[in-house]
Formats: sequence, structure tokens, C-alpha cells
Amino acid sequence: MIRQLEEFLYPQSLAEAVQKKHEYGEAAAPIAGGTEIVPNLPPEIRCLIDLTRLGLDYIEDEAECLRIGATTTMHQLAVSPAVAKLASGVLSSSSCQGWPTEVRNTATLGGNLVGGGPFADSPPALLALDAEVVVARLGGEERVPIQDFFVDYRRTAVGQGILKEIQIPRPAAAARGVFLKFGRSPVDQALVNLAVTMEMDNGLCSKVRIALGAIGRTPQRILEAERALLEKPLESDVIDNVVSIVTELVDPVLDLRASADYRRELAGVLTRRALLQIAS
Amino acid sequence: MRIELTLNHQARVYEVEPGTLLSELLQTEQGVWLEGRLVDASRMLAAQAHGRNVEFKAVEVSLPLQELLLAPEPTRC
Repeated sequence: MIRQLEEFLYPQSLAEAVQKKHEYGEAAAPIAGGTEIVPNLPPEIRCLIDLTRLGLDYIEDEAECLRIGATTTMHQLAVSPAVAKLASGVLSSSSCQGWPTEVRNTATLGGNLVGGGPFADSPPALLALDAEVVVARLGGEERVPIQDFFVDYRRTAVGQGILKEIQIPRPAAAARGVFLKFGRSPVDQALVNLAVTMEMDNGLCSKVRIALGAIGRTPQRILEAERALLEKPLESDVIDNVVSIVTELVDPVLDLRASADYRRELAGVLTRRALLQIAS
Repeated sequence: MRIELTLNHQARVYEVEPGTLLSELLQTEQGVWLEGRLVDASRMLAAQAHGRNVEFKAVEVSLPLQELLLAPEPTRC
């Protein structure tokens, strides 16, 4: 029993949900799967707004982009052929692989993002895919590039709005991607997770994204490492240089799971593994 | 608050608190299917099941260790 909860609302439309969120302010939070918020309900929350009856559990494969509704479950993502086609299935791989079935059936992509936890697995993949999120607000919809979405530890740009969908621009057909997670077990939170996407042109890297999670207060792209790869072949000296840039630039947190030095080392190891995997 | 759901194909109405867990309502943490999908009833509120089809199956777990302990000549370690 969660005694602090006083109300549970079932809005009939997204507009009504946004209106209720605005009325209740910080005392209300949206809920979809609930796997994150039910066991960790913030103390100020008195009211939950159910989003699961608003038809936001869709994956729409459009010409320019893939649109994924905020209440799409991790299981839906993991088995979607359209998601699997994006850069070697980098987002599919980040969809809570290894989690118990009952959690993957319920946890949603929107919840994974709005929770703002730096350890979540889908944010690095979405950063590597240049995703945008669509937030419904009182005045209309706002599009937010994913790199601007994570403001600080467990704080996102969604604010008093409600996350509606995630849009992923279609990468080139030849784009390759890798998601890697290192944790004590597949079910545990990542000590470090990483997603890399890359496009090659005549043997040279023409576009690359390197995104790390669980290492700082928010998931982040390592822009200098990306620049070091552009117009270069994926050869061992280039990879060595990128790995050294990553390990120098990251500013890892330390917590009960791992020291900062251990996370720094892991960031380099996972970067190397990902680049070698793409090169192969 | 009042919630209505279908439990094992029978319509049911319950009075619950907004913070009541589904596992508390069903008095189980195992084998709960919501709209045909296995869910974790201890991480889900009863209110989330309003209007849904819920199936609740008792799950019998048979562990090798239990089998060893129950054997006529228990294995000694």
C-alpha cells in the first residue's frame, strides 16, 4: 500500500492529461507501466495520471522517421522489426534485454526516459540515433532534441508537460550500430552503458555518434571522440586515439556500485569493443 | 475508489485505495496476467487494472533443492 497516494485519474485524452498535470503541478505524475514510479514514488506525489488508455503504445514506420508512442513497452520495442532495422538494431538491444518478462511487458520507453535515471539503457541508443521527443504542453506540442532532454540527475525537459512520442530520423540503410551494457548481471543497473552508430563512405567514417550512460549525472555524447573519428578509417591507431579521448573526457560518478576510476576504464573498454564490433 | 475488472473471466468490482498494490488486492505476487501479458503485481497498482482482464494462476514451484530434501534418502553435503 502506498499511503501517500490520494487520487488516481483516468483522462480520456492527451489534452485532458496535460490539463490535469497542469492543475496538480508537482503533486501529480503520469504513470504508464509503473515499474519505476510505483516502487520509487517521490514523496511530493499525491496523484497519478494514467496514460495507458490514450493510444500512445504505437510504433509507426514512416518514410522519414520512426515514431514511437511514449507508452510503448520494452517488449514491443524488442520484438519490432521496424526498430530492429535501425542501425543494426541498436535500440532493440537497449530494450531492457535480460530483464524479467513481467518487467519488459510493463516498462515503457517513455518511463525509461522521463525517469531521468542516468543508468537507463535506452537513452544512449536514442542519443546515438539523433532522436527527438515530442512533449505535449498546454500551449501545444514541443519537440526537444534528445541531447537537450536530460537536464540533470533525474531531471528532464518534460517539466509540467507529458511525453507523447519519440521520433527517430531514419538512418542510412548501411548505418551500423552497437549497444553495450556492463553491469553486475543483465538485470542490474548498468555500471556503464554505451551506444555507437556509424556510417562509412569509401572506407572512411562519414557520420558517428558515441553516447555513454551511467557515467555522469545524465547520459551524454562524447563529441570530441566523434570528431576524432570523422573522415578516418576504422583502424587500430584511430580506435586507440578515440578510446584515450573517451577515458580522458568522461567525468564519472562514484557510487556503491563502482568507483569513478573503474567506470572510466569501463568507458574505454566498451568504446573499443563497440568500434571493433562495427569494424568487423 | 471503485475499480471494475474481469478476474479469471468473471466481472468483479472492488473498493480500493489509490495506493493499493495489485498484489495486495489479489493476495499474490506470482502468476498475474494483465490483458494476456505476464506482469509484476507487486510493482503495479490495483487502479492500473481498472477495466482490464486479469488472470491469476497459482504457480507451483518445484526446485531441485526441495526435491533433494524431500527424497527418501536426503543428499548430504
